[in-house]
Amino acid sequence: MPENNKKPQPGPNTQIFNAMNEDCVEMLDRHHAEEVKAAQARKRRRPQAMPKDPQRPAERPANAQRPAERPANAQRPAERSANAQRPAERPANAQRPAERPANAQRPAERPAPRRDDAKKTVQRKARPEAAVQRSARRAEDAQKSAQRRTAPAGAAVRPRRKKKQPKYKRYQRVFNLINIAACLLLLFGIGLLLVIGKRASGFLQSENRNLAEFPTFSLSSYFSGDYTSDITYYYTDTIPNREGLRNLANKFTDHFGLHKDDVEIIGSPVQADKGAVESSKPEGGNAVTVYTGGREETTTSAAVTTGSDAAAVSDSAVSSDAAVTETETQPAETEPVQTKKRTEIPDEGEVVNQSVIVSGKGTPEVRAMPMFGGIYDVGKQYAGVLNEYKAMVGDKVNVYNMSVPLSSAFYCPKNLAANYSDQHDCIINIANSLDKVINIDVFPTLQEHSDEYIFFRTDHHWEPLGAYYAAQEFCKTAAVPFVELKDMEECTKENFTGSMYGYSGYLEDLKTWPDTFYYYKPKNEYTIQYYDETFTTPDTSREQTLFYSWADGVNTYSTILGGDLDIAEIKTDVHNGRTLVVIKNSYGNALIPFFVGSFEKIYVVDFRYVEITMKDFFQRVGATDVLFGMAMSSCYTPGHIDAIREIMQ
Amino acid sequence: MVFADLFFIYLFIPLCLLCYFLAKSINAKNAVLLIFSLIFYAWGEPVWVVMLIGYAYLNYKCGLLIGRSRNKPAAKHALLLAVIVDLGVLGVFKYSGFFVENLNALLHISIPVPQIRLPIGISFYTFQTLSYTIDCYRNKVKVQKSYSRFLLYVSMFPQLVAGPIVRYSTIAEEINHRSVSQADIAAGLTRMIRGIGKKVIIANSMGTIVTGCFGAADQGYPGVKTVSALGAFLGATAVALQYYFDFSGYSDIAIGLGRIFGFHFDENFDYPYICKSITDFWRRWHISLSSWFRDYVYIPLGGNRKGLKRQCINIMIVWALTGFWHGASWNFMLWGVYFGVLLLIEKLFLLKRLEKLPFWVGHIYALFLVIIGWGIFHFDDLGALGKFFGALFCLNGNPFSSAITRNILSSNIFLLIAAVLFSFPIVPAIRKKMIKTEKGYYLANSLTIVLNVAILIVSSLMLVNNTNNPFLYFRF
Repeated sequence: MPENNKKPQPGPNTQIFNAMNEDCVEMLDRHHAEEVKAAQARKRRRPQAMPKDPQRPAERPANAQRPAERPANAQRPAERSANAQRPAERPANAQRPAERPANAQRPAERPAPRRDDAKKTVQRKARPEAAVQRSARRAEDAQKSAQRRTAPAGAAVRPRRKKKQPKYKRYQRVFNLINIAACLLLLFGIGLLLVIGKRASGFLQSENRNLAEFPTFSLSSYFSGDYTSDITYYYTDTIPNREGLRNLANKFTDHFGLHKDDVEIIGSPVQADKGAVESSKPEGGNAVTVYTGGREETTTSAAVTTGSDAAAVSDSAVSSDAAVTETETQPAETEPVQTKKRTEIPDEGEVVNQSVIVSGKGTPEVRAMPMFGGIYDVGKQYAGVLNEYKAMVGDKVNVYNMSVPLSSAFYCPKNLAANYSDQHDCIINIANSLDKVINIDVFPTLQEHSDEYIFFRTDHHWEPLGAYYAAQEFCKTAAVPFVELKDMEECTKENFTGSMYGYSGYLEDLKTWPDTFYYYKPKNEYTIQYYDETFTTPDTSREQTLFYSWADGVNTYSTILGGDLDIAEIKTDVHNGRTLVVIKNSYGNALIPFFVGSFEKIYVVDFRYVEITMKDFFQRVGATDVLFGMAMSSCYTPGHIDAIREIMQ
Repeated sequence: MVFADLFFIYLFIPLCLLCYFLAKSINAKNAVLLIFSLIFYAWGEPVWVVMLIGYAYLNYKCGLLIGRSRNKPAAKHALLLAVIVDLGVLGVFKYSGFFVENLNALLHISIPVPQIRLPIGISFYTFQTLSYTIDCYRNKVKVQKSYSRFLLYVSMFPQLVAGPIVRYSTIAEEINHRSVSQADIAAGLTRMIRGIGKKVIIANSMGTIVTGCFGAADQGYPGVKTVSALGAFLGATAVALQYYFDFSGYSDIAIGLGRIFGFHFDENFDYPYICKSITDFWRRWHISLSSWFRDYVYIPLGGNRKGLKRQCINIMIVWALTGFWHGASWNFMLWGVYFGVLLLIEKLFLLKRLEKLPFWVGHIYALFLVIIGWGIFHFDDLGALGKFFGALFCLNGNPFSSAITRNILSSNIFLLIAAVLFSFPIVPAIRKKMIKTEKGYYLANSLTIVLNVAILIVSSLMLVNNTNNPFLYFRF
C-alpha cells in the first residue's frame, strides 16, 4: 500500500502482525494444506508435494504421470498446481517477520534487491534493465507479499505441520468426500427438482398480480436484455410452492431480533412535515356555501324511501347475505379475463408501498397499516390544483375535497405516532389553501367512530362503514338527502386477507386473522353503465352492476365497482337535478353506494386511468357537483397531483 | 447474470460443473469455461458481450506485439494503444455521462448527455487487461499466444462481474495447466456456499436495515431528514456491514468457484474491520483493487521516491482515482479523497503515535472513521449526505434516539451481533482451536458439512423472496 512507509524492521508490531496473520488463516485453505500434509504422511512422491524449487516449469512433469495414478494419488497433481501459484513463498516465508511491515511498497524504496527479491529473480529470469523495470518487479514482490498476508494458509501453516501429523487427520479425505457429496447433491438435486417440478402460474392472490410467464423470444427483447432477465425472473417467480417457501424464510428472519413490543415497522421511512399548520385561515379555510341552483333540495326524500320498507330490512339483509356468499365463488372462475385485467392496475399511492406498521402481532387484533408522511408544500400543490378546477367550472358547480385519512391516523401505536405526519394537520393544511373549494373534513367523524369497524386490519382501504360516515358528512354539506344504513341491505364477505399481507412481507398473522368485508346495497332504483377510459364506448365486456359478488381474495374490496379502470355512470330515481362527478382513487369507490340515494346521476372517474379531459366531461354530463374523494396518500403524492392536473383540460 | 440468484445457483452452476468435469483435456475444460463465461456475460449484456470479445482481441494483439518487439519502440506503441483503448472504453462507458453533465452544469451549456448503460463488470475487466499488457511490457508475464485462453482470462465468469481483479500473472500457469483435487472441490464448494450465505443472509438483511434507517435510494433517501442520531449511526454501521458482506461474499463465491475449476485467485478481503488504522484497513479491504492502483499508478508516478511532497500528491491522486473507480459520482470521489487525507495524516504523524497506544484505541479510531466513510460512499446525493452528517451529530434538530431506531435495532439485534462477530476472524480461530484434539477435529469437519447444507438451504429460501436482493456493482 502506498501509504506504508515503514522500514523493514522486525519489532513488536511485526509480531502482532504475524499473530494476526495466523489467526486469519482461512480455514478452507487449511483443508487444503492438511490434505497436502496427509499426503506427505503417506510418503508418496514427496518432492512434488512439497516443491523446493521455485522454478515452476520444471515441476510440470508431475502431470505426466497422472493417468497411472490410483485414486488416492489423483489429488496430488492438483496440489501441485495449488502450490504452483506461490512457489516462491516458502523460501520467502522463512524470513517473514522481516518483511511483514514492509509488505506494501517498501521494495520500491530500496535501491538494492533484498533476499526475497533475489529469489524471485531466479524465478522469472532477471533482466538487468532500466530502473523502471526493476522497480516494477519490486512492486510485484510487494504485491506478492501483500497477497501472502491475505492468503497465508498454504504459506504460514505448512512449515509447522511438518512436525507432527495427528493420525486422525487422515480422515480429511472422507470428510471432503462427504462435504462434496452433500453440496453437489443439494445443487444438482434442487436444480433438477426446479427443472422438472411443476411451475406455479396464474394469479397470485397475496400480491394481486399474475405470476411471471416464460417470455416469448424476439430479437428486440433479446438485444434489450429483457428476454434473458425475464427468464431469470420467471425461474424464481414461479418456483413451486413459492408462498410456502417465503413463509419459511420469514420464519427464519423473524429470529434476527426481538419483537417484544409487538409493533413492527416494515419498509423504509417516509419524509414528513410534523410542525403545526399555519393557522392564518380558520379551520376548513372556506366559507363557501353550496350552490343548489334554486333547485329544491328536499325533493328526493321520496326517492330515498323507494323500495325500502323499513320493516323488511333486517330480514332481507339476512337472506341476501346468504345469497351473496353462495354466488361469490362461482363466477370468479368464469371470468378469468377480468381477473387478469385487474392485475394490471397499479395500487395506491407510493406511501403505501413504502412502509407498513404492524401492531398487535400474535393477536386477533393484528393490524397492518400504511405509514403516512406528508410534506405540507405538496398538500398545498394539491389544493392549488383543486382551486384551478374550481376556477374552471365557475360558481355554479360545487367542488368538494374529501381527503380520507389512512388507518394509521387512528390506530398507529403511540410510540410510533410521533414519527409520522399528523393526518388531521395534513387535511387542515390542504383546507387552508383551498379557495372556494368546499373541504369535507371527515377526520373528526371517523375519529368519533374509530372504535367501530371502519378500517380493514389487513388491507390498505377503508371498510364501507367508514365510507358511510364520510358520505354522511359530505351529503350534509352538499345539502342532499342521505339514506341511513338501516335502510340499506347489508352483505358480508368473510375471510378477506387484504393487500397488507403482501406489503408486510407475508405476515402470517394477517392470514390467520383475516378481515370481514361488510358492504351495503342501496335499495332504491338505479341503473349503472360502464364506459371506457375515453367515455366514448360503453364497456360491454362486463356485467353492468354496482356490486361484483365474484370479487374475492385480495381483491375483495373491488366488490364495489369491480375495480378502477372504467368510468361508471349511475342513474338513480332521485330527481333532484344534482349530478355528482367523483374524481377518486380506490378509496372513493366505497363512497359510491351511499350516494345512490342522494344524487340523480353519479359519475365515477379514477384520475389515474381516465383519458378524457374533465372540462369536456363536466360539460357532457352536466356536472353540478364535483367531489375529489381519495386517500390522503394521493393528496400528498406529487405524481398523483400531476395526474389530476393533467386531466383537467 | 448475478451470483446471488437461484437461476445461477441451481441451473447455471450445475450445468457448468457437469460439462466441466465431463471434459477431459485442458483444452476441452477451457472451452467449457469459455462458453459458459460468454453465456454468463451475454445473459446480462447481450450486446456488450460482442464488445468484450473484440476488446479482448485487441488487448491480445497488443500483448503479442509487445512480446514480439521487446525493447523496440513498437512495444511502447502497442502498450500505449492498449492503455488508450482500455481507459477509453472505461471512460466512454462509465464516465462520459458524468463529465458531460458536470460540463453542462459548469458552463451552462447543454451538450446532450450520452445515455450509455454501464456494461456489467467493465471496471473489473478493463483493469485486468491493463494489468496484462503492462505486465507484458514490463516483461513480468509471458505473452499469452492463444486468443481463446486470453479471452477466457478476461471473461472468466467467477470474477467477471464483481472481481476480484485477477491479474494475469496469478492465473498464467493455471490457464495452461491445472488439475483439481478432491480437496480443492470441497474447499471451493465450502467457500462458494459461505459467500452466498454472506451475501444473501447477512448483506441483504443489512440492506433492509439501511433502508429502514435512511429510506430507499431511488426515492432520494426520504428518511435521512428525520432519522435519529443513533439511527444514523446504526444505518452507517449497517452500510459498513452490508458492503463488507456483499463484496467479500461475492469475492468468496469467485474464489470458491475458481478453486473448483482449479484456479487459485488471490484473497480480496482480509477481515478489514479488525484494522487498527486506516492504513491497515486499506491493506485488508479490496486488496486486489488497492494493490492494482499501487502497482500501476502509485509506483509509476514515483511512489515515495521523489520526496515527501511528491509522495503526498501521489497518494491523493491514487485515492481520488480509487474513489472514482467505484462510480461516476462526486460522492465516490469524495470518499476516495477522504481516505487519501486520512492516510496522509496517518503517514505524516498519526500512525507512529497510534502504535504507542493500546491496540483498541487505534481500532475504535479506525472503525469510526471507516463507518463515516461508508456514509459518504452510500449517499450518492450530496444533499442527502449533508443531512446524514447533520443527523449523525444531532444538527438536524433530530432526536438522539427514536422509537423507529429502537425498533429496528431490537428487531435485528441478533443479526447485527452475528454480523459483527463474523466480520472478525472468529470462524478460523474457533476452527483452529477445535482441530487440535481428535474429537474437536471430527466435530469441526462435521460442522463444516452441516453448515454448508444449512447455509445453502437458508440462502435459497431467502432468495425466493427476490424483492430485496440488490446488485451493488452496477456502478462499478
